[in-house]
Amino acid sequence: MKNTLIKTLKHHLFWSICLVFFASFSWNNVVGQNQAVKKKKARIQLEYFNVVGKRPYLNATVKTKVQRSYQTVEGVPIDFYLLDENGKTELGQRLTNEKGVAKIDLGKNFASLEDTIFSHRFVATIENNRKFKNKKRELEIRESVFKMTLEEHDSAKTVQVFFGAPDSTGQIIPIEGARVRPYVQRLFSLLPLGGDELETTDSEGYFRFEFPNDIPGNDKSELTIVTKLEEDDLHGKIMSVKTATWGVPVITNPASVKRELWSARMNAPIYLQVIVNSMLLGIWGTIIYIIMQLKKIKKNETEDRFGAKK
Amino acid sequence: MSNSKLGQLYKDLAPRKFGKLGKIWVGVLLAICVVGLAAYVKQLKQGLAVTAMRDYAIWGIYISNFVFFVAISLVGSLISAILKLSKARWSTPLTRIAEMIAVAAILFAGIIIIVDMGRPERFLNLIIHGRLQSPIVWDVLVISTYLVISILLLYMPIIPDAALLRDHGKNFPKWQQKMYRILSLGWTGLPEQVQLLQKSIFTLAILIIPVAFGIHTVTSWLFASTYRPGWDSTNFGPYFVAGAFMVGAAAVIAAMFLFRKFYRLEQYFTLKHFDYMGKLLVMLSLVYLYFNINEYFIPAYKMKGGESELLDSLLYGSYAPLFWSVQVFGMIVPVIVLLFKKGRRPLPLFIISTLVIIGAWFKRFLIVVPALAFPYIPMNRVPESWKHYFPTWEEWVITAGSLAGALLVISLFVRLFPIVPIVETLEEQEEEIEEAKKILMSQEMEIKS
Repeated sequence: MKNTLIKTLKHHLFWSICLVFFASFSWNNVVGQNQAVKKKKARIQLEYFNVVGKRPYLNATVKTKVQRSYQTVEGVPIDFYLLDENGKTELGQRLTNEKGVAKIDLGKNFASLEDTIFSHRFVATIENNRKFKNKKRELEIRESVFKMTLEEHDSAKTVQVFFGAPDSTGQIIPIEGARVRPYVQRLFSLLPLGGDELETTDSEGYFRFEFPNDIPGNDKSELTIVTKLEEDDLHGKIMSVKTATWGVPVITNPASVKRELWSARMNAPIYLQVIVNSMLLGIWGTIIYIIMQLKKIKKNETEDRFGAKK
Repeated sequence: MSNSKLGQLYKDLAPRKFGKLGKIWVGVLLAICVVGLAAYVKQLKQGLAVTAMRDYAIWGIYISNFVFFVAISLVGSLISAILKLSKARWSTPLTRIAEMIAVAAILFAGIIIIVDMGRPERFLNLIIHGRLQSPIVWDVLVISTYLVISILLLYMPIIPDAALLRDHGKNFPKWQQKMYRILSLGWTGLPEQVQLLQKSIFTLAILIIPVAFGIHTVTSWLFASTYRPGWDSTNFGPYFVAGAFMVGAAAVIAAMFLFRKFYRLEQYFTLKHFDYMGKLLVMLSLVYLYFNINEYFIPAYKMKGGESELLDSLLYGSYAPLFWSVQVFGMIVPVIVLLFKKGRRPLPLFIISTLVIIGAWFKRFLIVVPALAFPYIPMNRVPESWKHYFPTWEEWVITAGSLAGALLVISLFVRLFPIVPIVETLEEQEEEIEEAKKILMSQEMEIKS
């Protein structure tokens, strides 16, 4: 009886301690979750993007205040609408991603409108959300033409951009004073070209930029040239991308790179190669030797001590 | 060879069919594995987005589980090599358990690391494009080497037992008899065969020690070579190895207790085994405690820049309950309880070992996750969810599936092979008798003279 009681107590003690482990493990999560009970205010930033030659899209970035600073929020459903004289047309609903951005492509319905209506009003809303209060953001965008051409005469290379917008009859009127900047695509981001001051389009709607001759390209001299319309809320974020063989070819000879711990695989330091390979050889050599011994054990079954087969 | 002794050993130790409880156990493990597999299929379809891992918490419970598996696998080298080479004859009945645990653990360490990759086919890239300078490549090399050595070290002592089962196991199904015939390599116990086998096992026992130290040291370098608070330590290699030996010993004790209870092996896993393993566990716990003090006390004394936030969260903050539970129940309590002889009796020792194992799993979580939440460069303008990590249900289920998988491998293994080496035990019993006879004879001679 006494032994059973002690055993029962021991078991209870054991499971209680296990419970402590798991309870303490969940603590961090519980503390975190308690904070999300009240509905919070959210901000929406709505932007229109148009990469020439591709379908335009809308980005709605959702932020909320967390400890004095605004931070992006993941997983918030955003409803997108297009407003017109007849009311609003639903474009669709999207969730914000890890960067707090909900992106919607402006599809076929919108493309048919582009030819007849030259100004669009978009709305992004948070509606009936469990965590956030209702919020609405409007954006008005006017249609425009943004055309980049790359010209080459002798050794002079010029990036030319025409920027204009349709008038009420649909005729394209050049826009003067629009700010444009050329860029070159590098590995992780765009490299801005030109000076600190932004250049603007002339009275005929043209922006011209003399492209430098000393920008490194890939081994085939290729460069991705990008021009962007900057600081224009009326027409949205517009950019054009083209590839040209205007770069200085960069051919890397892997053999010329130093042997370092941070070099490519073929430039691993010699000492490292020697150490690792000799260790592998030694260990795997022994393993293979032992496997051969196993074969000998098997062979011993079929041969007697004089080597004759049984 | 004494036939009656062999008969008794065979009767006690030859593999048996699962009873009702065994079938339920295997069924439950299989069910957990299937659910884990289903969650993994979901992860394959939707990507690692189904996990809670993000830009900062790039490693979660998959990696802490991986480190746990690698740690527990070290027991193979402890029991089969270190104790064997030091002629600790008492450890012979434990060798197969240790090797079974080692093989199952290292197998699932490899599987869980592929699960963590999200795109399993990209594992090939590591082989095709892997850089020799990368600790990840070293880890892949050392894990695959350790797996092969562990399999060999598990298999080779089985050869004489497989021959015994081949010759005497006429009641086994045909496929099982065929398996024993293949695995026994035509073993007849010829002196040449015995010599070859002993020599090979001896060589492997020596070879596995540096590889075992290597496997966990290299795993620790994955962390130590990454610039994060809590990982930027020269102490990490021995710290990981010490912890691994501790959890490995606890795993053997737990397995020994369960096999003893359910297979009625009291005669083979005696109180002496529990007492010795208990003492070994105390020593290993003290060594690990020593490394823990080094790892936390000195950085906490300095509280320098980036380390202080991590240490605050561990010692007093959101991770403190888990941190102190692990330290107290996973290290200090075992040392105190096992210092007493009563604490080293089977049941208390089993309970303590289970605590050590649970503590060891969470300890790996504490090594991996909090350090990622406090990078040296502050986290600015990132979503709130990126700053914390708590596993999703998919991660829990997949992790549980891997743990169940390792237990399933062990369970199926003992269904097919003796838990205690039969032939080796018989030989040792006979050697002990011979030695006892020699001692008696020398004593008689002394008395006569």
